[in-house]
Amino acid sequence: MVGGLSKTRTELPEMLVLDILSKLPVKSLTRFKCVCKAWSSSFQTPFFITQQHHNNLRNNNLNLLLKRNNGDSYHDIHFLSQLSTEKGQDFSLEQDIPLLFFDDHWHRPLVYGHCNGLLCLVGEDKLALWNPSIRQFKILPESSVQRPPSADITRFGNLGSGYDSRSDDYKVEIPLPEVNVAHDHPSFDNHVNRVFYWVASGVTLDSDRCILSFDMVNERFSTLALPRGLLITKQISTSELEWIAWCYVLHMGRNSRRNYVFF
Amino acid sequence: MASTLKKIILKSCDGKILEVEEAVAVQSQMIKNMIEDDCANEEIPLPDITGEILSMIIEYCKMHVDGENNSNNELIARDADFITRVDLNTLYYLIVAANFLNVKSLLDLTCQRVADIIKGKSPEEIRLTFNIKNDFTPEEEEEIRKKNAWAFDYKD
Repeated sequence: MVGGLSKTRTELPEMLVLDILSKLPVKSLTRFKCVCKAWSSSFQTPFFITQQHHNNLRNNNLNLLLKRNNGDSYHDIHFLSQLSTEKGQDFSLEQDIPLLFFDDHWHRPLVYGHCNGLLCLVGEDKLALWNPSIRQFKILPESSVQRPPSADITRFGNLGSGYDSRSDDYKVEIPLPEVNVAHDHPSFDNHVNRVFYWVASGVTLDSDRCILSFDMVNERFSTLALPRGLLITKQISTSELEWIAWCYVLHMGRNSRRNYVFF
Repeated sequence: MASTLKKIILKSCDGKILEVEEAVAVQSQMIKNMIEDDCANEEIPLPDITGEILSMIIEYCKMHVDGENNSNNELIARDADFITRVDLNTLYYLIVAANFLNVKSLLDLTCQRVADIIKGKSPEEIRLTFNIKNDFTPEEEEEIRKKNAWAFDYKD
């Protein structure tokens, strides 16, 4: 104990208290929401949320594993469990999260991409963003973008979700249905530096398959030809093609001084 | 180099004078700015920092200058050893001083330590720790607790 200091309690300025609080895990913050009104509203400001997320990424205590439990029969209620490891210890947290708003379907919802701890969930006809840290879902409204009447807007083939730093918001992108994008979604993220990539056909006049990309910051589509050798290979499955295209995109990105010179 | 031997003189609010090597003193961004502006040739008065707190901060800064060539893990271990010796009330004074002197790494370390101490506490304990008055009605508080019941499960 430092002499004399224990007698008086120093009052920390509010800014420093918030500095401390921004280093807490989400679970503690959720509990501390009921400490007082000022804290509760401070925790909801974009500045605090960003700072807290940044601090907790640095502390590396946000490892998350998802396990999907389908139950024994078709009629069981399905849910996702959250498992986490913290600071190298074998510590697991099992939190069952019922997916109430999705139809009870054995292979839905699917997780389509993740970003800053948010997951994009896709059901038969619903899209939702899920923040597992605060156990909250947000069902996305229908897109206001006009689509051709023939388009089946209730099915989501291939989509991308990500964070746009310029507008400080999250976006979910769905390619228009007149473009055919490969259906077997590969089991990896399909975006780099806020640009999404799909293998697509019907984009260019000669109807060759190509790599379709979408820059979610500028909201612009571009195309990139597939590696030349790939076009003559007939015996290749769609998912294999996606894998190769993806490796190609990464390769091009690494070998260019500018990011993705092909735009 | 002559400049590394230069001493900076700091004066605490209780009159304690500390002579600090420039390399150690510039760990404080505030003092670094003063040196650059040529305002650090005479003793620098620090009106809100006691001699004991100032000594601790200098010990921390010296540890970082001396440990410059050490591995990251060694520095983390030293930081941990330094900070776990400090009680909560002293931590508050260190935070205020580290913020005033703008020693970013010490501010991070002290704030993180307080966060680690309080993270498992209940809202009631937190109000006592930070001397906060509960301005929710019992109904409002119950509503928040009900909505976030999972966060009140203290097993981790």
